[in-house]
Amino acid sequence: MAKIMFKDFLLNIINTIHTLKTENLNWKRTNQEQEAQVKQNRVLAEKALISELKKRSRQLKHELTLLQTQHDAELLMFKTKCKQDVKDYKQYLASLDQLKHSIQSSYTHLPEAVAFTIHHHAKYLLNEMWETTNFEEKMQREIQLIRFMSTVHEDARLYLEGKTKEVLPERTLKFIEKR
Amino acid sequence: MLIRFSLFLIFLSLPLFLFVLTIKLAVLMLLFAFGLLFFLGVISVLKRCFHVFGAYFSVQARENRKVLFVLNQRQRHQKMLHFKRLQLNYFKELEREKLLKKNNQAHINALAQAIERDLHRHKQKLPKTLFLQFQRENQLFRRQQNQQALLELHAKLSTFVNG
Repeated sequence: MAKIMFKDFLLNIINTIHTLKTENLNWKRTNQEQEAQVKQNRVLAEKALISELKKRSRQLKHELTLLQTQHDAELLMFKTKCKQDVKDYKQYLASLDQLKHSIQSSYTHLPEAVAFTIHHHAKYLLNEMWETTNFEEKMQREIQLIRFMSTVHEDARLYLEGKTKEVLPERTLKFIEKR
Repeated sequence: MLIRFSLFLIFLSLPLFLFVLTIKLAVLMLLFAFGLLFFLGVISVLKRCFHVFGAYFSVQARENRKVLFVLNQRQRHQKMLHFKRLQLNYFKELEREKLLKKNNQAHINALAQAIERDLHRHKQKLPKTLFLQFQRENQLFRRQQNQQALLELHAKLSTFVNG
């Protein structure tokens, strides 16, 4: 009895497996086209993505080359500007030395300390101008420096032409005192 | 008689034999089960590795990495430009400070020399100790490049000389 029951049980299992296989086969047959379409679509999408990525990579490389060239040019310009700045500063210092020399040669009895103070003040104005980052402020400082230099030259000229009898460049010293 | 005795012995040892056989079989089955589990584990790990490597070296992943690499390069270039500008600016400032220092030094030396000349010119008017003190101070301030102190010394000397 048990033997027959066991046999029936096994047969039932085998039948179930066969039914499942048949159903699976039927499903595949019905959806074969759709499945193939999905697969093809996936492959096509992957290919499109790859070609898009390749294109983007090429484009970016090109942009990078351009950027590099632009950066090199920018750096070169900045380097030249730095060199020019240093040169300008050197020239400014030389003209301030010239200013001191000019006032000393005009006022022959001018004490060295006074000439030193005038020169020092001019250098102070120059450095103030140089260290300002704001353009408008920089211009104002430059104007101030130029005004100071012209005052010194004016004093020297007046003394040389004998239009003033003052022993010291009073206008220049007043300018310094105002600061 | 002997056969009977043998059969008797076999009968006696049969349960023991069956017991030993069962245990051996159980151990073998357990070992086999563990072996199978291990084998399946190794197979699954290998499959996973293969899948991961395949995904990493696939054309899509490679192209994606190339794009990311170029983007990274671009960012690096931009940062480099900024830092190179900073570096150039730093060297420019260094150069300027050097020029300024040299100029300051030259003018301080000129002032010290002028004070020295004044001291010698008015040597007769000054007591010897004061003259020597002024001279020492002048040399000291010149060495220290202390322009303020030199100016004060000059003023002190002028006050003393002019009464």
